[in-house]
Amino acid sequence: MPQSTKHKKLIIILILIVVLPLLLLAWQGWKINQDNKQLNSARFDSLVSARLNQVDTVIQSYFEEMQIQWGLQIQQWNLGNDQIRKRIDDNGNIRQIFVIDAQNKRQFPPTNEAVTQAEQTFVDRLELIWRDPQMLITNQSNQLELGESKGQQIAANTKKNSRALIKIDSASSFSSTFSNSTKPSSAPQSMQNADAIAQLDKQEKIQAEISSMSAPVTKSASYESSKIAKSKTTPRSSTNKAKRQGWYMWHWGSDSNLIFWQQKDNGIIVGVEMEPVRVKADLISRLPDTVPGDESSDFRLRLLDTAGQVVYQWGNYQLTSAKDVPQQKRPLSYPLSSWALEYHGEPFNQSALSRYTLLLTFFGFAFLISALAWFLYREQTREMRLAEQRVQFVSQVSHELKTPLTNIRMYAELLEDQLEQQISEEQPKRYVQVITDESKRLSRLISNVLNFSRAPRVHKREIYPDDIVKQSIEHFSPSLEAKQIALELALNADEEIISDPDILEQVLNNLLSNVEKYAANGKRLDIKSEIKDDEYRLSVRDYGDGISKSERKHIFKPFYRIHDKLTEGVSGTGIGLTIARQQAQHLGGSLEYIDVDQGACFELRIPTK
Amino acid sequence: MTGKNMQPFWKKLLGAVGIASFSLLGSTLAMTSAQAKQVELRAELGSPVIEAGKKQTTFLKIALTGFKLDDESDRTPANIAIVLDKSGSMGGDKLQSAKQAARMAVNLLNDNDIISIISYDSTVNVLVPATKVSDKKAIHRAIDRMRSNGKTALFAGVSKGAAEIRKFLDKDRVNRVILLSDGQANVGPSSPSQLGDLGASLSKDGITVTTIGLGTGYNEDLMANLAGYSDGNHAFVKDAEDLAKIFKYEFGDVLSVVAQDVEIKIQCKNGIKPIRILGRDGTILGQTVKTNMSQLYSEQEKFVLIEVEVPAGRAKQQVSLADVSVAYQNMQSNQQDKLADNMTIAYSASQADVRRALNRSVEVTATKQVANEASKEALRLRDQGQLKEAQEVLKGSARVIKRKAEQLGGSEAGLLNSFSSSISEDANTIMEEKDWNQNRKSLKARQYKLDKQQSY
Repeated sequence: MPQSTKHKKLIIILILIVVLPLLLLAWQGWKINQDNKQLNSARFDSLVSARLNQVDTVIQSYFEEMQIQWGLQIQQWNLGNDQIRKRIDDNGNIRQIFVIDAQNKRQFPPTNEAVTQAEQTFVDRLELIWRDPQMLITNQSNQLELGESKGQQIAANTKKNSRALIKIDSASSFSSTFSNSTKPSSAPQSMQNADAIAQLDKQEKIQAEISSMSAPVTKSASYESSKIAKSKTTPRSSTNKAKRQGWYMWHWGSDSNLIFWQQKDNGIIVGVEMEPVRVKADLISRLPDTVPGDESSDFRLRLLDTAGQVVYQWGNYQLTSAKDVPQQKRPLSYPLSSWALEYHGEPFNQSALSRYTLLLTFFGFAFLISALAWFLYREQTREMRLAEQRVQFVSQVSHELKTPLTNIRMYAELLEDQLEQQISEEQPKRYVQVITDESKRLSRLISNVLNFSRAPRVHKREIYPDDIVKQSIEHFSPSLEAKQIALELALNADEEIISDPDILEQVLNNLLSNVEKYAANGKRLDIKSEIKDDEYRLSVRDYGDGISKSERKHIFKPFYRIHDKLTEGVSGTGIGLTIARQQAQHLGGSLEYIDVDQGACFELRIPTK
Repeated sequence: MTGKNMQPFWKKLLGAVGIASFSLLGSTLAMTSAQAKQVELRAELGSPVIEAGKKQTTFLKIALTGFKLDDESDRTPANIAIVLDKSGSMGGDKLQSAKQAARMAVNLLNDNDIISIISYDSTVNVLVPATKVSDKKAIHRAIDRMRSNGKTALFAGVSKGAAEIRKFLDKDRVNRVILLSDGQANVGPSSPSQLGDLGASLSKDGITVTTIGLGTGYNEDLMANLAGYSDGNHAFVKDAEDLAKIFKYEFGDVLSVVAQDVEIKIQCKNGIKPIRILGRDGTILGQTVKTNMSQLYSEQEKFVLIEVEVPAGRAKQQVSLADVSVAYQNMQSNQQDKLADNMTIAYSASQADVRRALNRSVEVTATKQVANEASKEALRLRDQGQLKEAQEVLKGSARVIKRKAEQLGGSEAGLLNSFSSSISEDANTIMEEKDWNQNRKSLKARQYKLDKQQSY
């Protein structure tokens, strides 16, 4: 094999050794990174939505507390005009109040006497309700008595949210929080938040109210506690009791207006219009503030009203422009379901450090493999150089041997000729014959070695291949005879072909030499030749021990010798078949091992032209 | 809410006993009650005697003057939230002055007072949550930490301030949010009407808001509304160096509160019809007028001026005009006190009698308040681009004052003449584009001061 292709091959292999694992590593790394990213971003998303839910819960709890507070207070209210006006004047949460009697007539603001300017605008604002007060209650299929607990309510509510005029009945959350408030501790706390002027004596009073209220209200929630409460407190006048209540929301101007309404047992509906900016201010007071430099709040949460205007925002993340797209947005739960919460933050990314680490690992690995490959390459080329030097040395030596040998052979042949003519004695002739044969053998060996180390020059000319075969057999016949090998010839190629006789002879010599060396025990040698399909085919078959299947693929490799008893004690270079095949290939043909029952068979094919 | 009239029974009893002072036990208890000082109520008419035979209008002045605080230890404990703008525009000297003013203000307070400090830009930071003023150094440090940055979330700042106040909300304290801003509110609700609503809502809970506008970048309508509907103070500070002075005035007011939560009810009688309340916010319902004042300061007079229509009467007829009742929280005794007065009006055929009877000081007040209404109207016109009309209104107003000065004569004439010339000056400045931004703020602040009888 030529050195340069060998070298190229080596380089390609080394490059592959370096590149393939790196590609694999890069791909794996990328995939893991991608998976991680996905996992982390999913985790991040759920964290964000948990945070938004938490905020929503805070806001909801505000309305729940308001429900409890108003639900209880309204039941105690004296509904005289002056008293109502005083309530409006004294309570910062109330913008206006209306009272509608069982006949759907408006009692407050009064219809038959003078009203204040604020009351007049209120009357104008709520035109729709005066027209059909029962719309607060009856246009809902899910009207429920207080204290019943139900799940379908919420589903029904979300359906309604799309309407311009939203009506929210929140008896479900009411009943749940109401049962909580029977615990004495939680009630005063919520009262204080919503109405901080509440004095201690007032709180006590309300607390008492709660326990008295719990009797009629929380039928399902805590039956036992209501029984206790009942036994302790005197029942209130039944007409003032709340039958049902809920939130009603609509949009007027830029504000989201909320009404908390309560229908009493006697059919009277009392509605409290919340002061819109106060609702906003109260929500703000419940939401967290922003401490500059606080790293735990590297986000920006925004509360948006129906019009999409920011009501409040907190968190240290700086928004770059007004168009900043939120990472998550969710609507609030009712009653403010047309409001929304937005989460802004650094878009989720694998942290810079991990990408850095990844790259570092990759390049580190690449460097290591490359270094290893470089080391291997250097070792390999050194080996190759050494081998080359050895081959060159051998070939040099062989070359040097060739010249004297040729002379020896020539003079031995001359001597043989002379002896043939002049001396009749057999003994000297035999000696000379041996010398000649051995020198021929030696010259074959040398040319083999020389051919192995360098490609031979091919000189094609017209030849009769069978003549070459016969000539070659003639050289071997003495030794074949000596080993009692019977020769069977079937030479049927009596045609001229264009080829190199020297090379052809060398191939044959190698094959025959093998038979002589390793298959002598077969005692038979078949040589057949023919010309078929523009090919000269020559097969050499012995009847020796043959070659085991596992060895067959190795026999054409240089320096390979079958290790068994066949080769024991027989000297050989291990390059015979290699050279034979190379030579066949130089002639444009092939040399193959043919599977036979007994012994070994080699077939040489060379083109006729 | 029923809180304000839900006095414990024994207190009511004590009040009743104090007045009656019948029983022996009662008289000893009454001693303490009687010693508590009272706010002075004066209900006066501009023209106690009017011309007979024709329907006409007159002015009713209900003035309340806080009693004198004898010494420093008597003063009402305060519950104050200082809300400071630290938006980008506050950078540099402005923020430094604000910090200095806030530090100075903290030094005016003592252990009994509660303070919270809130700063806002795009977001809100509660620098000092509501706390007793015992560790002033720590509060100063918190103030010094402020750095200017971002936009102006004014609404959220006030909301958080109010939330801090609510932690210790108490009718025996002066509950006040002091807001400093130099810019347009641009995060959260930011219209003057919304901020006005917020002021009104806080006022119902007993929280007043004082607004201090710094420089020429803020929205004076918004700031005046917020202060006005909660009956707090409003000031325009052109230069940041004056901040400390304004804070001093403001705290002077806060620390001299003697009465709070003042409810004034005027019940007109005998066909007398209330037409309008000048300057203050209130409700007129038929013959009843109701209005509130958040606080009364020591030795300062605050009043309500009401224009009423009096039906025609016969000469020498004397008619009961209105009953005035006032209820307020006395900060020294921590009780609710009630005051009452009534007014009568007489008809006369003689012009001279009418002139003689004129209450000169009420007339001066009424003239000023009416002129102030005209000044507001002029501002409205100016805002609509009707510069000429605006000027005409002011010029007309100046003429009216001048005539009144001539009519009244005496020392009042000089007072009114100088007022008239200041209105004439306004008539000139209102035409100028140059410095209008600043002039408008100054005019707005002056109008506010007259409306609310602000001390500074």
